[in-house]
Amino acid sequence: MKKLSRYDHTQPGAIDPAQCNGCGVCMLSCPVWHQHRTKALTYCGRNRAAIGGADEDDLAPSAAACILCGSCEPLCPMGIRTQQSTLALRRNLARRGLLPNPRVARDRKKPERAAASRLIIPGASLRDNGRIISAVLRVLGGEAKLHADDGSDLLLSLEAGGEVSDAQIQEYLAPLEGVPELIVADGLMFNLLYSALPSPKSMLPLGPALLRDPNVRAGIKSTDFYMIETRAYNAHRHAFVELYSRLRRETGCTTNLDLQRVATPTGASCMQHREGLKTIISIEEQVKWLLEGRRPARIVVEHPDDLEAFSRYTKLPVVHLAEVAKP
Amino acid sequence: MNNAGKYEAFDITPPQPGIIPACPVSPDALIGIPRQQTNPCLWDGSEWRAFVSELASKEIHVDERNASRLLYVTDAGGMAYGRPGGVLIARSTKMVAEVMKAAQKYGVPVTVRGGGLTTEGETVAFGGLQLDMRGMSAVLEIDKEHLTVRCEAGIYWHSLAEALRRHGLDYLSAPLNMTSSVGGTLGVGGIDINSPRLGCSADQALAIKIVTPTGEILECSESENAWWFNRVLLGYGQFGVITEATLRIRHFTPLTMHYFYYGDLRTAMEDLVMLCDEDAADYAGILTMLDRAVNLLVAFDTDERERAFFTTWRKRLRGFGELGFAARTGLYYILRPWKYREALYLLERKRTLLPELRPAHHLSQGKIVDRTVVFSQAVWKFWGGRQMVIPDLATSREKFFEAVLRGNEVCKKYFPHYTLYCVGIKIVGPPERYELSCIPPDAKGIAYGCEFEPMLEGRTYSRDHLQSFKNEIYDIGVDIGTSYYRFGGMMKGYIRRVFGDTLVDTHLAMKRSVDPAMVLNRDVIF
Repeated sequence: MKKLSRYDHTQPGAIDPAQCNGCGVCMLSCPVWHQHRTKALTYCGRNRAAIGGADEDDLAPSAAACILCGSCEPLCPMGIRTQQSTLALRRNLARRGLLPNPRVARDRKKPERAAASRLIIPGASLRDNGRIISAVLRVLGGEAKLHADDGSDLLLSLEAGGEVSDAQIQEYLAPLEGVPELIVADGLMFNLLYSALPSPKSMLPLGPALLRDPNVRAGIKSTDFYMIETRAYNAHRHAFVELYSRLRRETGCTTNLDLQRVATPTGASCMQHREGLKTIISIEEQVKWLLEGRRPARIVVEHPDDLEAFSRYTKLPVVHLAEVAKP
Repeated sequence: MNNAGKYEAFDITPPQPGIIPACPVSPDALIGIPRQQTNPCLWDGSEWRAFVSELASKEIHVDERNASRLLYVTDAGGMAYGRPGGVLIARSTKMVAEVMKAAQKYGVPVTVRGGGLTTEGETVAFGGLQLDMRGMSAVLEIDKEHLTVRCEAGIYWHSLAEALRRHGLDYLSAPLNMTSSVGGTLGVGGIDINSPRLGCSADQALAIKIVTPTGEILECSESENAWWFNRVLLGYGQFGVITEATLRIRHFTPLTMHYFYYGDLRTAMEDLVMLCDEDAADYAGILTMLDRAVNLLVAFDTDERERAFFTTWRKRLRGFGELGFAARTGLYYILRPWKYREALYLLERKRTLLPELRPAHHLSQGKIVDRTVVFSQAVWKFWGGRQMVIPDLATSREKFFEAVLRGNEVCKKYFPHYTLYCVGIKIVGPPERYELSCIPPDAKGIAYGCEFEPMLEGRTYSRDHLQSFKNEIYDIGVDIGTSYYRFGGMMKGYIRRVFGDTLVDTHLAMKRSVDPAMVLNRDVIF
C-alpha cells in the first residue's frame, strides 16, 4: 500500500476560496449533486458563493446538507481538503447557533490503556452488532481486541460542528499510543486518528485490514457487488485505489467505485441519518443508483450501516466482508 | 443643464445592423479592429417583478437570494463578470416553456447555462434570469439494440458516461472536459479527438427537443422540424433551448494510445493532416509544450485498427518515440545552453504531466479506460485556473498551417509558456447547420482547429494583455479568412468581420423573427 497522506482535521480555517478555481469537477461524484442537481448544495457551490461574496450564514443549508462522504476530495485538482473544510465551516456555523448541535459527552470516563497488539476501534455501528464483531474477530485472529472507548461521541460532535477540545482529543488518543496496529471501522474516525496520532502507526480501515486475509478475498465472487466504506477511502484514494482495482481484477466483482474511482456512498453512515436529523439525501435513491444497470447476486459491505441500508431497500442477500471468509 | 456640447465629440447614434462604428473613445485602442460594443450593458430590470410574479403564479419560483445569484457571477473564462436578477434551476421542458413565454411577454433576458464552460462570458447573465439547465440531468432511455440514448440536456457528459457504462456502452464524441453539459455542447459543436472521424459532438444528435424563444415545445430531427434542428445545433443558443437529446452511442471499449514526438510544429501538423485524410486512426490530435515538444497522439478502439496503423502509416510518420525524442531534444539544448530555462521547463512538464496521462488505476492491460476522466483531470490540473484564455482558429485544410504557425508566434510574443491543441473535424452535417459556426465555409471534408492556450501559471496579467493576445490571434483569422470556436460574448466584435454582413444580417433577421423580444441568450452573438 502506498504511503497515506497526512489528514489534518484539527487545522483551523474554513473554506479557502483563494485555492478553488471553480472547475466543478468535485460535483461529479457528489451524492447531493446526483440527487438534487443544485449547485448551491455542493462543496463547489459553497466555494463559489463564498468567492462571490456570500456570508457564511448563507452557506448553512448547504453545509448541513453535506454527508461528508468525501467524494469531492480526491477530485479537486487544486488539492483542497474538502472534508476538513466542510467540518471547519460547520464548526463556525454551529458556534453561532446556525446548525443543530447534537449532544456531546462532556464527562467522559478516563479511558484505560489498551493492551493489545492489534486494536479494533469499532465505531457505534459495529459495536452494536455482535454477529459481525464475532466474524471480524475471527478473521483478524486471537491477538485482535476491541477498544472499549470507540470515541463515537467525540466523532459525532466533530461531524456536527461541535466543539471538541484539544484536551479531549489528547485524552482519547493517549491510550492508543504505542499500540502496534490500529484497525478503524468508521471512516471519519480513521481520518481523525490518522491526522491526530503523533506518529504514523500501522493503521488501516476495517475493509483493507480484512482483505489482507486470503480467505476473505477468496470468499468474494464475481457476482458480488462490493461496497467500499467511502469516508476513509475517498480521503486516501491514492493509497487504496490499487488495492480495490486488484480486488476487482482478481475476483471479477463490481464495486461502488465510479468512473473517477471515487467511492459512492449509500449515505447511511452520515450523522444526519444516524441522529434522525433532517436530511436531503434519500438512502433508497442512493441504493437504487448504486445498483442501476447491475445485476449482482449478493452485496458485500465493509460498513455495518451499509448492511442495514441494502437490507432495507433490496431483496438481495447482504453480508459483511468479515462473513464471506472461506474456512 | 444642457450637456449636449459636452458629448458632441462622440457619435452616440445607435449603430444600424451591419454598420460597425469606430470606437468613440479611443479609435486606435485595438489597432486594426473597429470596436463595437462587446461587453453587454446591464439590463435595466424593467418588468422583472411582473415576470417573477407571473412565474410564481404558475408555481415556478425564481430564486432571488443573493447567495444563489453569486454562484453564477462568471464562467470558466473568469474574465466576464455579471449577476443575474434571479436563478431558476430547470426541472422540466414545460417549465422552460413557461419561462420563455413570460420572458417574451415582459422582455426579460434569459441566459441559459449548463456547465458554464464558456470563456467569453457567453453564459454569464448581466441581469435578467439565469436558467440553470443542470436540473434536467436524467437519462431517459437507453436503446441497446439501436445504440441510442435519450437524455435531458442539462446532464454532464461525465454523468451520461457513468450511466451508459453500467450497460457496457459509451458516448461517441464529447469535449475532453467532464463538466460540459450535453445541451451546451450541442449548441456550439463540441470537439473531441475522434472528431476527424465522427464530426463534432452535435453531429451525433439524432433528435432534440427544444423550447423556442417564444415558448413553443418542438421535437426536431432531420425529418421533423429540420429547420429548427439545424439552426439550434451549433446555433450558440440563439434559436432555442435544448431540453432533451437523442444521441448515437457505441459499445464501450478501452483504447490504446500512442504518442509521437516532434521538435517541429509544421512536420507534426502535416502528419496529423495525413492521418486525418487517410482515416488512419480512431483518435488523433496534437498537444504541444511550447513549439519544442510537439506531441501527436493517436489512439485506437480496436486491436485491428491499431495493427493496420502500424502496418501502413507508422512508417510514414516523422515523429519519434519518447527515448528518441529525448535524445534529440537533449542535443538541441546542449548546443543552445542559453535556452536552459526552456529545457528545464520542458523537463519539469514532462515529469509531472506524463504520469497523469497514464494513471495505473485507469489502465487495464495497457489500455486506457475512462479516457475523458484521465484527460479532463489533467486539463484542470495543468491548464485550469481562475482565468482561462483560449483563443482559437478554425480553418480549412489549406489555411491550417499558416494559421497555426502565425498563432504560435503570437503565443511566444505574449507568454513564456503555452500549449497548442490541434484537431481535425469531419464535416458530416448539412451546410446550413454550420453557417455562423466554428466550421469555416471554405472547409471541405475536414476542417481543422487549433486552440492557443497560454499557461497563466498563477501570474497576474492585465485584462488588456489577455484581450490583446486574443485579438492578435483573431486578427490572423480575419486576415486569412478562418472561423473561430469562441466567437461569442466578449469576442463578438469579430463576427461581422469574419462572416460578413450578409450572413450575419440573415441570421439576425432569423433571430428577430423567432425571438421578437431578443431575450434568449442576448448579447452572445447579436
